[in-house]
Amino acid sequence: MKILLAEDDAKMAEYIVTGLTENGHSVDHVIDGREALSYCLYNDCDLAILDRMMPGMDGLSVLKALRAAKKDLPVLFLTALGQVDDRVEGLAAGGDDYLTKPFHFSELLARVGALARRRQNAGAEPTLKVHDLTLDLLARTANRQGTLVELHTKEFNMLEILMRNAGRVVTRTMLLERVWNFNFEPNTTVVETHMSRLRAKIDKPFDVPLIHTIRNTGYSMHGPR
Amino acid sequence: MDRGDVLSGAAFTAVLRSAIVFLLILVAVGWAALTYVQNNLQTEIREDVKEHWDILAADHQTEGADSVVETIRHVRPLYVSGVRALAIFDEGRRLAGNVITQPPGEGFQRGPLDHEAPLSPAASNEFIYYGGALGGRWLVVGQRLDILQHAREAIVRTLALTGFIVVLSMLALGYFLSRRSLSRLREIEAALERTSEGDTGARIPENGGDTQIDRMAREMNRHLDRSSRLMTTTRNTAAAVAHDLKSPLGRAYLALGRAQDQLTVGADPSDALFDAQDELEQMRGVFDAYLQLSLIEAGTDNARFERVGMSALVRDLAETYSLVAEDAGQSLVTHVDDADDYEISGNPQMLHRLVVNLLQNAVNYGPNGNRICMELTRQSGDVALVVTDHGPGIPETARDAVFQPFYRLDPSRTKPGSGLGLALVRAIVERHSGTIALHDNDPGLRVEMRFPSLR
Repeated sequence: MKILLAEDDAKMAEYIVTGLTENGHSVDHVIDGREALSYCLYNDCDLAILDRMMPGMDGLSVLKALRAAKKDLPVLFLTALGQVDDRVEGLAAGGDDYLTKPFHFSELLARVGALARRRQNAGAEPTLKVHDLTLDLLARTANRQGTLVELHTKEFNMLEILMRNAGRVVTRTMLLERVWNFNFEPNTTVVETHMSRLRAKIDKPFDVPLIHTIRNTGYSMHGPR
Repeated sequence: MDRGDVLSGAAFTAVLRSAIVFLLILVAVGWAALTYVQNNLQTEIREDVKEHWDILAADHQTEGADSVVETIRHVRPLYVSGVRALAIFDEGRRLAGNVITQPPGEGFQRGPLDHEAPLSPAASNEFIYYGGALGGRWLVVGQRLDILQHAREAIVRTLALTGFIVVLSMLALGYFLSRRSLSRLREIEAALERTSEGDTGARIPENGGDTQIDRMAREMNRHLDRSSRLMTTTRNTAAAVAHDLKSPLGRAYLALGRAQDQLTVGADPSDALFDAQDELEQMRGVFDAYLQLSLIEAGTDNARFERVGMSALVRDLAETYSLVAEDAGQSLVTHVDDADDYEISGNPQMLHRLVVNLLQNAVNYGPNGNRICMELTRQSGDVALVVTDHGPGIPETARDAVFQPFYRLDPSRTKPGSGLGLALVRAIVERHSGTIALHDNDPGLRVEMRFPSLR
């Protein structure tokens, strides 16, 4: 995937570029907002990672200009700690995701993967399928090996996110944000609690586990490899 | 007290200004009064003079010319003061009376008369007189205008004295008021000076009065209260930040060192690296909470406020946390009136964090079997959110302190958490113009919050 990174911190940018390149992406790096905007307007890329605070033009203005120019490439914001509404503001302006600095590289990688994926299956298919598990998005039920599984709202939402990103890592923070709308680290076992219930319903009764824990990062859903 | 400072005080300059205005008005009114009185007096004098002339003329008609001369001779001793003039002439020769030479002009005249009485040096030789022919003779009746001058002098003297007394007492009052307010201002100045020198306990003495300065002093004291609270908090916080971040930082260093050692001996360093990551994660959480706390407290969080239905928010989080509580061997019940949205003006992100912090605290510190209860009600127009638990509670003496950033009831800090949870809760409640109070739940803790309702 071709990614534009707009980040004025040289060290940070170097880490991100190296990491993404090692994971098979091609990354172009610019150091201010104006450059980022002209890059996106005149070059094709699959994803832009914009720092919220940059010299020249801040990330939010770049995004607004892009959307005004009918460029719909996915945009991921990097924001500062402590800002309550940065996320809401960024998403309202047409951003696709946001990440608070400082972050684990695996967190960034997971989100980049999710955005690429989201773009590919932009069409709203009525069911998701991983191995022998199907999720009916309209009836909001799961079915594994012909057995109907009843899910609570949060369990269903979690499973949907995991299945949409099948084969990729979904971080704990992504789940907290998307299922519970928490944009802070609540020091809580919320995710673990719900995950163990979800597993008890869709994994435990069957021989092949589909939800896999990625240590210190999150979860990944896939069939036997 | 420096006199110059008193004289430049607001009260004194205000009084001085009104004194000047008062004097101008006094002069204008005095001048008008003087003119009015003088005109009246002159008219009266004229009438009086003419009346005398007419009486003598009537006498001439009835008794004859010589009778008039006789009458004048008789009354002449009564007129020695020189105020009144009365004389009759025949071809310019004085027949009788106290005017030596015949004055010119017929009818009413105003001017000097050749009066036989000696003129006192203070008086002016100014008369109003009436001269006219009376059967071939010339009768003159007049009155000196001394009375006019006396009236003028009396009026001017009265006005001047009044003006002097009034202005003097006004200035004295102004000086007194100015001096009093100056001494209040001095107190304020002294308190502010002490504050700027770093004395957070300095306050302006309050005297319970209700002047503008007293009100200002009270307002300033409130401001000083708040800023000294903020300053103390900041001071404590800086120390606590250093302390609370030192431990995870130290552990992260150790873990990284361990990873390095493992690499040199060819072992897998993953565990050590994960440990280091965990420690850094924890520091990040503390920083995030602390930054948010300071932004919210300073009111610079740029948070957007909107209509937030508290009932939906509370129910959603209750659903999630009842499972978390269950896993910890505890229970969570919620009482919300389904028919009411409990709308307030708020920031959903902050309110989320508020409720999560309270529920997470209750679970973290509660024992096995802890019963947590969350209740949403209306109390005298406000939306009241109450969270109770049956945990260890907070001793009454610590109920203020727990709102301080980094304050921990448990000095060993064995429980997870940044020590910022309740500080953040209070900051969020206050940011929403709400109130928060901690009570005893016998046993446990009862947290009561109130928010202004949107309805």
